[in-house]
Amino acid sequence: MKLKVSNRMISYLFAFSSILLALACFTITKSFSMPESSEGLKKWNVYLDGTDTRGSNGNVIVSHDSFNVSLALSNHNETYQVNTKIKNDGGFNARLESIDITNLSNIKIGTSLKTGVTYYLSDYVSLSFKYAKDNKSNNVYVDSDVLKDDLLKMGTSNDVVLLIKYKDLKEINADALEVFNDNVKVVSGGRVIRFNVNVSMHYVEAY
Amino acid sequence: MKKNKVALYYSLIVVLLVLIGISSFLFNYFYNLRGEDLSLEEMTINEANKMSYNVKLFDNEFFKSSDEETNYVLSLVDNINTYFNYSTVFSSPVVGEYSYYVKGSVIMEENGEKVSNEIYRGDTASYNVNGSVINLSSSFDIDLDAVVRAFREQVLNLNLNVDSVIRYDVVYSYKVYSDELAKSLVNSRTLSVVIPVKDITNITITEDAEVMRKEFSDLNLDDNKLYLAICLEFIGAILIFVLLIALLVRRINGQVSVYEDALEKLLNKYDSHLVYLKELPDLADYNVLFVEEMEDLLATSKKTKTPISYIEVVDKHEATFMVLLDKQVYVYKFSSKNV
Repeated sequence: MKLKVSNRMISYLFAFSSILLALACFTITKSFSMPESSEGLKKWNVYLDGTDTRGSNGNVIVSHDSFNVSLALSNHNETYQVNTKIKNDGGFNARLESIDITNLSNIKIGTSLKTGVTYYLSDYVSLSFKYAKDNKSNNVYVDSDVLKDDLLKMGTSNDVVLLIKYKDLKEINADALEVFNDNVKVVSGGRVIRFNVNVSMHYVEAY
Repeated sequence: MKKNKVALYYSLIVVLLVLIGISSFLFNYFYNLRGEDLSLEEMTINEANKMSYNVKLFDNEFFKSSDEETNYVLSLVDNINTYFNYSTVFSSPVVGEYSYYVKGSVIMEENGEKVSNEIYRGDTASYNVNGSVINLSSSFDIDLDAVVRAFREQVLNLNLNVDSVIRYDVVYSYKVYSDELAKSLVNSRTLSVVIPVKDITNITITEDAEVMRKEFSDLNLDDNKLYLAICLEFIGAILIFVLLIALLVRRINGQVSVYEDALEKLLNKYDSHLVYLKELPDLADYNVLFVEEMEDLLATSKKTKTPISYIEVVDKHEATFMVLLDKQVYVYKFSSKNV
C-alpha cells in the first residue's frame, strides 16, 4: 500500500515539475524578442543633385535641398537658367511640403517721384520655376497648387528648372523705367541688376 | 530485477540533479535580471545636421559660398545668408512635435571672462510629426553690417577694448512619443555661425555631422512581474526535484525502512511477552512448526505459559520469534519480504 502511494506521488510530482519547467520555458521565449538590427535602419536622403546652368553673370550654390542663385543681369532679355534634379536616395517615400522661392516683389527698386508708385524687382525681372510633377516631365509652374503633396518615391528624381529673365524694354512701362534708371547704376555701359534668388524644396515623409 | 530497479532510481537521481543545476542557474539569471534596467525594446535614431552660408559683400556684391573662402574683410560684408538642415530618422514611428528658433548674441571676452548679450531672438517655428522622419530645412539672414555698426557704437560709448564675436545659433528640439518604447523622447541640438569682430574675419559654422544612437524602453512593472513569475516557476521546479530525489532515496532504502518500522511496532506491541536472545539456539533436535501470524505465536505462548524468544537473524532484514517447548518449537519468521 505504502509503495503504491509512493509510486503515485512520484509520478504526480514528476508531471507537475515537467509542467512547471515547460511553463518557464514558454514564458521565457514569449518574453524575449530580437532587437531590430541597426544595419537595417532606413535613412532619409532627399537632395538636389547635378546642377547645370545656362547664362553668364550668375553663380549657383547648392545646399542639400536648397539652392541660391546670385546674379548680375545687365542686358534686357538676358536669361539665366538653372537645371537640377531633386533626388530621393533614402529609404522613405517623400512628399513635397512646400517650395519657397525668393519673392522678387519684395525687393524694392525705387519710388516714382511723379506717380508715387513703388516699383519692385519683379517689375523688371521675370522668374519661372518648373517642376516635373509625379516624376514626369510635365513642367508644372510653381504658382500652381498641384505641386504641394507631390510624391517623390524612393530611388526616383524630379527635374527642376529655374528660369530668370531680365525683361524686354517693351515689357517695362516708362515710369518704371525712369525709376529703374534713377536707382540702378550704369556699370560698363549697362544697368546691372544684382540680386539673389533662393529656392528651398521642403520634403516630408509620405505615408 | 531489484538491482535493475535500484540502478534506474540512481539514474533518475542523477538526471534530477542535473535539472536542479540548470534550473538554479536560470533562476539566478532571471533573479538578477529583475534588478537591472534591462529593456526588451530598442529604437535606433539617426540624427544628421548640415549647415552652410553665403556671404554678400558690398564691393562686388557677389555671394561667396562657405566652400570657397573663409576669410573676409569685415567692412565689406553686407549680409550672411545661412542655410541649415536637421534630419532625424527613427527606426519606428513616433508622434509629437519639433521646433526651432534663431537667436543672435554678441560675446565679449576680457581677461578670460565672457559676457554674452542677446541681440536677436526669432520666433519659434513648430511643426508636428507623425511618422519616422523629421526633416527640417530653412535659412536665415544675418545683417552683419547693421550688427557690427550697432556693436561698435556700444563699445565706443562704453570705452571698451575687448575681443568679441557675433554668434547666431539655430536651436532645434523635438519631443515625440514612441508607442514601441512606451515613452517620450526628447532631444535638442544647436548649430552655430560664429563671426569674430575683427578687420579680417573668418566665419566658422558647426560641422556637418551624422550620429546614430539607441534608445531603450524602461523595464516596467509588467516585465518585473514576468521575471518574478519565471523565478517562481524555477524555484517550484527545484523544490519538486529535491522532493523527488528524497522520495527516490527513500524508495531505494524503502523496503528496509518499512521492515524496521514494522519490526519496531511488533517489538513494542509484544514487548511484555518477549525475551531477547543473544544467539539463535540449535534447533536440530526440535520439531519446527511455523506459524503464519504473530498472534498465533502469542496464543501459543499464553497457552504454554512460555515467553516468546526473539532474535534478529539478519540485520535489518529478518527476525525470528519462537516459543520453545520440550521437543517442539513454534516459529514466526518476520522478514523484509513479507512487509
